[in-house]
Amino acid sequence: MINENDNLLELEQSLRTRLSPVRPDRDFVGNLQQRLEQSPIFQKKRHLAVTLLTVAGGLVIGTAVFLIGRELIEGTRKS
Amino acid sequence: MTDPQDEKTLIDKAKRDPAAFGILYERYVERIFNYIYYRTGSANDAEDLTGKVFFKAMGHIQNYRHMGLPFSAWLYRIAHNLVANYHRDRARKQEVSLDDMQGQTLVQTSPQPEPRLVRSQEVENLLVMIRDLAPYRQELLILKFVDQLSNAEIGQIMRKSEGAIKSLYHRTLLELREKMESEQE
Repeated sequence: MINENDNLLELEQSLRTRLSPVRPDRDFVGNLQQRLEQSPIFQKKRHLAVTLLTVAGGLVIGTAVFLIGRELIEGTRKS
Repeated sequence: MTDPQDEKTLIDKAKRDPAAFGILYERYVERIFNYIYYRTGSANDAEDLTGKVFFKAMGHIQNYRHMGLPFSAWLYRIAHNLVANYHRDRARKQEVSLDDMQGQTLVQTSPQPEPRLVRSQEVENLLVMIRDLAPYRQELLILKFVDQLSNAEIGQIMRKSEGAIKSLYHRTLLELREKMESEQE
C-alpha cells in the first residue's frame, strides 16, 4: 500500500514537472485581440443602440413639442 | 483567483464594451490556449480553436448569466465542446482518407513538425499516453497540472463535486500508471 502510494506520488511529481504551461505566440495573442475588438458584433450592437437612442429622443422631443403646442393653442383660445 | 464581484462587473461591461471584453480576453487567453494545446497537441490548431472560443464567447456574452461559477468555467466549457468537435471531425476525415487510400500504395507522410513548441521525447511519450485516456480524464490532468487549478475549481468547470474530482483524479493516476507500466514491458 505504501509502495503504491509512493508510486503515485512519483507519477504526480513527474506530471507536475513535465506538464508545464506553454506561452502562446505574442503576435497571435495581439492579432486575435485586435480582431475581437474590431469585430462587427460590437459595431452592430453600437449601431442598434444609436438607432434606439435616436428614436427615443425623437419621441421625447415630439411629445414635448406636442404638449407645448397644445398649451399655446389653448392659451390663445382662452385669451 | 479573480475577485468574483470585479469579474461580474467586468462581464456586464463586456456585454457592450469591446475594451472590457479585451480585458477578459487577456485574463484567460493563455489558460484556454494551454488547455486546447494539450488536448490537441498542435499549436496551430490550438490558435485556431482559441480564436473560435473567444469569438463564440463574444457572440453569446449577452446571454451569459451569473450562476455563481467563474467566467473561466464558461470559457472552458466552450473550449471543451470545440475540442470534442475537432476530434470528431478528425476521426471522420481519417476514416474518409483511409477509404480513399484503399487499393493505392500507402505513402508514409509525416505530419509537419510544430516549429514553435519543441518538446523532449520523454514528454511527448507522456502526452501520447495522456491522450489515450478518456477525454474527461485528459481534461482533469490538464486543468490540474497545466492550468494549475484546485480540485474545487476543476469541479466547477467539470460540473462535479470536489470529492468526485478527487476520486476521479486518483483513478486517472492509476490508469495512467498502468499504461506506463504496460508500455515499459
